[in-house]
Amino acid sequence: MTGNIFQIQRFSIQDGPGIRTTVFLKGCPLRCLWCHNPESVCPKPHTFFSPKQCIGCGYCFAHCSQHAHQMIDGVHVLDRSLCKECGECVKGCYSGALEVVGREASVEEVIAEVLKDLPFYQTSGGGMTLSGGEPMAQFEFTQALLTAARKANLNTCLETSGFAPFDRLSALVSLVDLFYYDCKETDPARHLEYTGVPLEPIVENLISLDALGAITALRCPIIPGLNAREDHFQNIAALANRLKNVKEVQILPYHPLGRSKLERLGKPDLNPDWSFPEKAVVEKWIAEVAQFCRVPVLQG
Amino acid sequence: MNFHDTLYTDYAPRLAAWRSECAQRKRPKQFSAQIVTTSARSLRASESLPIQLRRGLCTCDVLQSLEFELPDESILMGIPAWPTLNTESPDFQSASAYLDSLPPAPGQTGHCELDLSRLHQLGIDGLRRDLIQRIKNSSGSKKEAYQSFLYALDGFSALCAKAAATALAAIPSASPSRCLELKVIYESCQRLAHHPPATFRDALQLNWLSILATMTENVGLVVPGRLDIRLISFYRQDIAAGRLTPTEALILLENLYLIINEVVPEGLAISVMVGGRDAQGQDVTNELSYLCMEAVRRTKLVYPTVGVCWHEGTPEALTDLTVELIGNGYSTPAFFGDDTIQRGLKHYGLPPAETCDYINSTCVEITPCGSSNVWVASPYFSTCHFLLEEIRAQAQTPPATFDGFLAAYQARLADKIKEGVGEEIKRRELRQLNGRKPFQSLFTKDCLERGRDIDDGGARYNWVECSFVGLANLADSLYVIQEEVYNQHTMTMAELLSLLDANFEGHEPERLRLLKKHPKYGLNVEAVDHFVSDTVAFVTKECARYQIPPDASHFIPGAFCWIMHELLGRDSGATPDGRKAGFPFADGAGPAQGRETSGPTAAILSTTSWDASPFIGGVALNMKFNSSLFTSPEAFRRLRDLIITYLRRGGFETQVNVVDHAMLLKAKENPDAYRDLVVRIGGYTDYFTRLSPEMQAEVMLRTEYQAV
Repeated sequence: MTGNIFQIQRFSIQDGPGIRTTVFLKGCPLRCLWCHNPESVCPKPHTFFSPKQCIGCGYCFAHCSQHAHQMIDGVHVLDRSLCKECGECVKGCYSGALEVVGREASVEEVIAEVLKDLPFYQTSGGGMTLSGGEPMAQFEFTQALLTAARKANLNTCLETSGFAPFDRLSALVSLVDLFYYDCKETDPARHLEYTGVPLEPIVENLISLDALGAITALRCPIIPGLNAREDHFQNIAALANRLKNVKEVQILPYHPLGRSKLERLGKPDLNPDWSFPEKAVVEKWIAEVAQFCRVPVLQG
Repeated sequence: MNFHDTLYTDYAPRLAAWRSECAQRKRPKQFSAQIVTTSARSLRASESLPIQLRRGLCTCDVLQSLEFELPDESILMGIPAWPTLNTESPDFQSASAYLDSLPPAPGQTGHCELDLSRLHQLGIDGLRRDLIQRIKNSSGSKKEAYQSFLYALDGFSALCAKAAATALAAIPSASPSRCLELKVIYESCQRLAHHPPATFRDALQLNWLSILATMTENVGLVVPGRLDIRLISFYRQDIAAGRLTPTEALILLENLYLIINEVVPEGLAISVMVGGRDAQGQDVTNELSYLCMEAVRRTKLVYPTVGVCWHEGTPEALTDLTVELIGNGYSTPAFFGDDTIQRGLKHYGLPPAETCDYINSTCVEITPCGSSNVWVASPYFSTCHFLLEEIRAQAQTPPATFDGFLAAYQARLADKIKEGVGEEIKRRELRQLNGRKPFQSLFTKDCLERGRDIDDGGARYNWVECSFVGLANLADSLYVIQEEVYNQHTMTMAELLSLLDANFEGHEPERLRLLKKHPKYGLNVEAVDHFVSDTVAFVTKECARYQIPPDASHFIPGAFCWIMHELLGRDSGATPDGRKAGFPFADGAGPAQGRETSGPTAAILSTTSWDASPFIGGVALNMKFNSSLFTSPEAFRRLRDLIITYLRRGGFETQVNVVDHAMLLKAKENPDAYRDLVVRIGGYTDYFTRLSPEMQAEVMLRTEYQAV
């Protein structure tokens, strides 16, 4: 079986216990306004283009059947309307100007890569984390990866928005040691506006997963001007308090680092003014959630 | 009030002030200049005598001429105060010319921990009686050796007495509290001039004075060594007797570290090692192991490096303390893999009782404690330079197969090793004829038993350790040649040579292809990694063919670099791995700069894919991280787990750089050298050099923020 992935990150130390390898799966049904992995949204491979890295070798001009690459006034321009994302131009580009993001990979191939760091998992109690994109969007692949990891005695974590049919999520409970479950917005109307999908099934799935004994950590991206609100903080705590098996709540302060990826993807930056929140502000957010919450609230 | 309570009341702030001065000051020492004039005078006066006696007298004269300065902050004696010398003066020029006219005694020196056990047991007077007895009972060259050792010992006694007198002379003008300190210094040095050390402070003072005395014999880099093992009995006696508190011991250690920074020239390394095992395999970590490490936290200067000799029985607390320092940006603590190093020492014939008693003699070159006349870093071999020679030699009529090319390269490497050994053997022979170091001999096993100077075959171990520099670039280059020239036929050997000769000028696409298309050492790819393990096995076998005089000693390989990866890289042309002319080679055993793109676990797996144990000349893996990674206790544990896994897999030594703002600045200016620098903020990871300039600025702002 194969799936679409866009990165396998070794020595991942903030996505679960121990030293881990995080596999990023491509494709996501959500359209969060603050998405920091914009290249993960579409399931198909993408061409990353960083014109500043171009050394003008001419390979892509010669090998693009669509003539999407042009030199205009000495500047290398990629006309995305012509580009068929065939990846031919990337094959001979070693400057870093062109890269393909995303590839099809088999379960065996991914697991072999993950198992390379087995000695480190054994020392540290680590293992594999699946992230994305939305791993649930490639359910069979996700399930097969987790099954293989379980067979190898790895600790397993799954990062998910929770936007998936419940029977699929519930099928993974026995394969996942820790669910990183997103809590992006607690107001239904805003949730739909900010992420493009409804809130209700996500919350229902969470409550039902919890009832099945799934261990969770809530991951809450906080975006100034969108969801950095007192009512949201209180609702996060209230949601966490309803769960029997939640381990902690993680506050993920907004950062603008997805922006350089947007440039490389050739996509417009809709929020050019957004920036890092101050440390004191983040601490205040954490304190606001923590005062109502019965489990630890940490910065993630 | 107890005496020691009074002694150190206001000490911490004074030490801190001295520390910050020390960090800023570049204090030029006229150390060697003074030795030149005194040595010349002494040697001129003894021309009719045999070399052994002349050198004994010379050491004695130099040690007697030593003067000290004692900063108000210091409670240990040990900073030499040589009068400023005019090196242009006729006197100095004449002295210098005289020494230059003496028969040469070349070769490496120092890089050892002295064996002070005799002084601990007998004191100077006791050792003196022992020497007199030996002189009486021997004849010929032995008698001369003992006589010269006695001269050196008398010089050392005078030096201790001078140290005492310096403290005494400062008393009349000192404040009442300083008077008490000076009195203690005086009494301690006065005791050492004749008797065994009675206290922890005595033993520490003796350790440094003996290092200083050895340096006057033009011996470089003698190190404090395994302070925790050597000094623990003194420490425990003092604590039990109420003479010392742990805080005071810590202050004394800090004081020693500051003196080292005052005296040792820049750009070198001075080592302290803690932890490890005894001959029975039991862990030896003790209270002082922690204090030696804590003193690093408090001084945070370039000297000394404190290495943990790590094994499975190393207490978690010592490992965690060291990791905590590393994670907080201290780059001087290091971890040494005790299993690997002991296995290597056993391989070279050390008995079980001695394999555990070694020191990283400055950086990572291992020498046996107290018994070493081991010449480290002798010589450095530039493995890639030889590869370029081979490419040039083969360019027109290359071998038909890659294996043929590799065999030709290895034959060249073997020739270079032979040539290098030949040079070292010549140096050894000249040294035996013309060199003598009676003071160092006195504290090196088995010079006394054999009645021979260390330069004359007195030491128990007389290995020569060489170093192979640029192993990662070599592996990467060999892989490129195999693929481009032999497997894919994308270029001929002659075309490759012309690319390299042109330093890739006008051929950036080709350079990037060589650099980026092919996997590199450090990415945990067997097809490349095996070139390092093959080379290591080959040179280990080659080195084993040679025997070093005077006692058919081992010629032992290493991959230790010091700053030579940079110097040799600067002198080397472009290499097939896409490295441009003049760019530094990879340091130690790690991947080449900027190529560690699969992260530290892959780099560790590559680095431990070959057996480092025969490379007793030293193997280092340097890792660097952005400080933003290490903000939580969990993150520190991950760093610990990473290091432990490296050591368990046979890692020799590792040092970690937790990268600060200044490093990010450098990465911005010179991105090619920092392609592997990972930054992580709020769950997001990327390579720093891949971020847009604006984003880099954002990240730097962050780092700066965190640094405050």
